[in-house]
Amino acid sequence: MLDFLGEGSTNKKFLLPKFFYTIDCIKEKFCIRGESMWLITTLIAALCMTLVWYIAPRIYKLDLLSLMLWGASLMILVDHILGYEGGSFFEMETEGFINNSILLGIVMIIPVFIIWILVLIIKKPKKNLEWR
Amino acid sequence: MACFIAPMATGIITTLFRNKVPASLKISWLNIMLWGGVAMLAIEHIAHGEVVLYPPFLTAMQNPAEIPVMLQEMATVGGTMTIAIVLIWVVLVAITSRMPHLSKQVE
Repeated sequence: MLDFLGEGSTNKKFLLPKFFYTIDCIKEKFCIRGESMWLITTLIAALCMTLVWYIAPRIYKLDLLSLMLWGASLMILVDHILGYEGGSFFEMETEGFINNSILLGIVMIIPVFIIWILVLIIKKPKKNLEWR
Repeated sequence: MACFIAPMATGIITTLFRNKVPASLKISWLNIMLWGGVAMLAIEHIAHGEVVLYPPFLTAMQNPAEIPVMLQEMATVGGTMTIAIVLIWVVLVAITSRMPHLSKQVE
């Protein structure tokens, strides 16, 4: 399906930018594969959004986005720990429509961002700024 | 299989009864964490073909032999996820209620 970025692609050297080779190298070096990657992408997103929340004005409701990402990180972590069946914690393959776990991690973040944007549209932060 | 159903059920209950909970308990934090996790895990399950967009919605429901396994996973993994989120919420509320300056910053 969406295997154009996945490990199943045989000629991906001709398809992918250098960024993805670098990620592949990191994954091989630290034995990070499959399911672990969307836990890591969610954790990175949660950390980044918490940092931005600390700096940015409160009207952007980044606390909502951060909390959603932290909640998701915790749930995915629990899922990983309980689904762990021995061996290396990070050596699990992913299956399904999206074979590349980094891409899946990014796709998983999309609905959370959509919710946040919808809340922002409803609350109209620009209008609030003008009032101030 | 469908571990996110347990936190989703909890999220529905806490969202429906949010007005009956005192504001000092900050039930919105719990709701936000629960719904964020549910949204992301739902996408993960769709990508893995465990959830479909047509009835019976859960692929495990198509095979009667998989139903008890699914229910067990819902109870164990889903239950633990829910407990973990609730514990984090309790800790957050406890910390912010004891530190008013921190509570103001979060607000």
